[in-house]
Amino acid sequence: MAVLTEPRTAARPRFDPWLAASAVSLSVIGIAMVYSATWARLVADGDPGGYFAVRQSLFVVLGVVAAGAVYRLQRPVLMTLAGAGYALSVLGLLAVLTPLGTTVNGTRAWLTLPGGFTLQPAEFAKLFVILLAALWLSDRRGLRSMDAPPEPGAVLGVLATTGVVAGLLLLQPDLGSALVTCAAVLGVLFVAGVRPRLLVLLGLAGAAAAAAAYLLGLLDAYQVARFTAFLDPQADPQGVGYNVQQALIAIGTGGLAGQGLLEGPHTQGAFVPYQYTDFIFSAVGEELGTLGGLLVIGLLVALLVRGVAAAGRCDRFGALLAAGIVCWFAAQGFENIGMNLGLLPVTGVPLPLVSYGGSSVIAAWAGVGLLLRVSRL
Amino acid sequence: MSQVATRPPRAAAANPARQRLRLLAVIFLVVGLTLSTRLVWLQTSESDRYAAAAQSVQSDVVEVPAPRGAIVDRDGEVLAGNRTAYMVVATGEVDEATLQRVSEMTDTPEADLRARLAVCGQPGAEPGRCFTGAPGEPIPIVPDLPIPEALALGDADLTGIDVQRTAVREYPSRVNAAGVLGYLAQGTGQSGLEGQYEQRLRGVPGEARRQIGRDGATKRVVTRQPIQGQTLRTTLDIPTQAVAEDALREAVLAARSEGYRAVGGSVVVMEAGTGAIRAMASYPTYNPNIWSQGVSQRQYARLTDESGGRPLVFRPTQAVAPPASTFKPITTVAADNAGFDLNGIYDCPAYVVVGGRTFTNYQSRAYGPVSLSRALSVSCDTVFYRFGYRMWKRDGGLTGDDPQEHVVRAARDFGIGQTTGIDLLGEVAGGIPDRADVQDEYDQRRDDYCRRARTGYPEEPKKARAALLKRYARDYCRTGYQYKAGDAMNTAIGQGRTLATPVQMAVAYAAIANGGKVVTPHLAQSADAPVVRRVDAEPAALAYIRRALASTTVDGTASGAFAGFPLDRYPVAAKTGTAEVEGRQTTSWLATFAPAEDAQYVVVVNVDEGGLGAATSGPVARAVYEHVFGVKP
Repeated sequence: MAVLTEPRTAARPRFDPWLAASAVSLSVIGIAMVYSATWARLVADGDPGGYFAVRQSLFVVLGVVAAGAVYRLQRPVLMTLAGAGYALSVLGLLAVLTPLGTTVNGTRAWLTLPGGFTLQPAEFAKLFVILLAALWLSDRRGLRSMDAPPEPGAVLGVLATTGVVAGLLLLQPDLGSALVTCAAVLGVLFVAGVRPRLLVLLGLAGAAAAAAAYLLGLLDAYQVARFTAFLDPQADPQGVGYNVQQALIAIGTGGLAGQGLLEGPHTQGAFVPYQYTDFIFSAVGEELGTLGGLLVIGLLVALLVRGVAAAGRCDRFGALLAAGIVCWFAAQGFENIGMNLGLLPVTGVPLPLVSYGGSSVIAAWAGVGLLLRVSRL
Repeated sequence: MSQVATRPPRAAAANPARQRLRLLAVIFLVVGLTLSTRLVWLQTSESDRYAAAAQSVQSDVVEVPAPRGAIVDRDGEVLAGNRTAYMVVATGEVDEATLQRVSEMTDTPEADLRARLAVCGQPGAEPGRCFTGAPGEPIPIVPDLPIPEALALGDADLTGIDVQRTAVREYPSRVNAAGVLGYLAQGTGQSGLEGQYEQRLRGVPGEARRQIGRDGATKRVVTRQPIQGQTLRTTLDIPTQAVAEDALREAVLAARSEGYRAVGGSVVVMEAGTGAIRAMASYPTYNPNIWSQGVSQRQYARLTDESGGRPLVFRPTQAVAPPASTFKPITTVAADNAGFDLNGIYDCPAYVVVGGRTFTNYQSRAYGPVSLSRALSVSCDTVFYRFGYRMWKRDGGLTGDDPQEHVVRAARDFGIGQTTGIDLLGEVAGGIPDRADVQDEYDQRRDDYCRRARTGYPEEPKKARAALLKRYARDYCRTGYQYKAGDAMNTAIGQGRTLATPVQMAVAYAAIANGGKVVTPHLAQSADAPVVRRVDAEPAALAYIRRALASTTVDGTASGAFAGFPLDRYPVAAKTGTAEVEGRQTTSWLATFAPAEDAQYVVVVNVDEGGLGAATSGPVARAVYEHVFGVKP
């Protein structure tokens, strides 16, 4: 089951149990940690302790169902889905900016749904941007080989569609999602054969766009401060540095095997803000210790590597799609874990498959479904 | 068309696309490894640092207050004890609606609650009612709540509001003794015995660690038990204190009904041989329970207002007045030391004239040639004026080269001008200036007065008074350094610039009564209260004075006050005093001890602007003696 060996010339669909298992494991760990990070305060407020855990389980189930549906999709359907999905995503991203959207923590990113659920279009937008990019950069009939150079028109088209989404994301403002989207698309472009020099230029352009966003006042001072707080969490321990500081304390006191599930004082005492969403890794670090943390990182890497392996087995479209999804998971996952560890700036991106969040989990599982699917293409 | 057939064959491993994928995989592995390394590093090398940080975030140390020691009288009856009170504290932000509910449920005006919520030093804070602790600490907003209301408020479970048990002072005895006991602010003694013996009474607070438990609930673990404060056993006697307080109040009210201002008064009842205080009262006084219930701005203003008599001033140790005729025994000792004959006969005319000034007896009464004993008993001023004058002449008059200054020396020997060392905070020393003091003061004030001598007092609205002040300034500028005859003569009768507190007079009279020992007055039984010194006076002189003072209650100025008292069984030695201060009514003094020989008690009474010595203060001393000797009134 070596990753980088000769591609197999298999004709029949291949289901990758390791990829599926990694995803399932991450989600199970996620449900457990969401429970651990939330039950105490819920009970103290007189609410059922499993509220968030149950909802997360529901999201995971829905996600697995979505993955299952995607797995069975025929290629033509996928292709249509790309365009439609992208259009809907853009509409959704526009909708959140109107009074229809809800603001949380300074970001207008949610649409309210009946039943008390919310939808975050950004998560699905990432998926469809990647799908569209993979599609555009490969022949629609999927007959082109992996080594053909990309058509400049297609590249421009991809950049345009990505740029629109990234721009809409920056208007929320959701710098993290914008960066992750761009990273995923860069991955697709890279694997598609776009010259590295061009990619570097694109990267710089992206940085310039981010700077412009800041200067234009799209990002407010708090978010910029949050971004740079990772450089010195002590600088503003009660303000922007607080979140990272508390996460570090939680992780730092984990020890080898952790304090035990439901037993970590920092997690149980609700000292880490947003611990069941963006900072879920700090709960892992404290309660499951080094072993748990390495497990999560390992599962993520396994997922990525298996995804790369899947990419290696398919034709152009499949490979680009898999590469895009893998880069999406990589950028988001590593950024999230990195910010929990105080190595990277704080951006509001969840840990894929693990953090609490309906849109995030379902979109990520759809991505997993696609990864499993591509080896069949 | 089968998709399998049209799919081109996969190329070899050197394929650039494969290489790119391989690169991605490598990047992922590297990043994963980096994150893993960081994770391990945080949890091994840095674990100590984070453990410490966790500790400081998750738990904090709180003080466990120690129960305060009680203050009891000589028989163990409680003067100041503790009771459990329920107080309402604000633990966080309190919104308007919550404040309103608290106001309703505790029957406290919202304005009061808001004033107490303000932290001192922040804008809008009212001194006296603002919170003196640090921001972030729980703020007591209702200090003392009855149990049913406390329980109801606790059940209401309002956000940011907590009901806590605390200990407050209560005063269960029938006496007031507010000034002696003192008061607490923020749990710390500020005055009186509470302040003086704070260290002993407060005990040692314990320590508890407040830990966030598994389920988010806080868990308090006492890490160090508090040590209860020691009980302070005083020398006070509650029955005597009750008699003293009541008699003093009645005397002040009686004086007022006679038309005197009688702004306030003191009683000191002290053991003559040891200085142990049996009773000590100040009038007006206040209810000490107000401190535990929270003082309002208005209440505090009333307590410190001049017109209210300033009940926060503890008069026995903090109010000074010229001792007037009660000083005469000291002049007698000085005269004896200066060589005058105690057993001689001295003339007591109605008045004496010195340096163009006339010095009269009270009501210009003449007694003719009298013994010193009689002079003391009837309180003849002119005899003592003459003593003062003659000793001043002997000291060199205006230009004394090596003055003996017997009178000032004797006064200081008896304790005038120094604090007695009583174990209460805030004792004042009064004073009696000698020639050097007059010179020093002149050196300091001369420039001021000489300037005034030229410019006058334009700010004084009354022209006559302004002219008078200017004249005085001119005189002072010219001759203020001199210790004049008039100064010496006034000093000899306890006027002039001499100022003494009632407790100082008690110590002085105890020295006369106990054969010359200057004792340290004290309220705590365990106080370190040594005999300070022996006065420089002949034992014969002191005995003579004792006999003379014993006759004051028989046929002297105090005979009216002690008419009907069994003086044959309990002879009371007394000296009356009627102090004059310019612009005020006369202050009544009565200094006594009994029995006249082998005295057990010294009783000193003072009523500020209360009229005559015997008439106003006499009944107070009499009531005390009736009580301590078990005499039916």
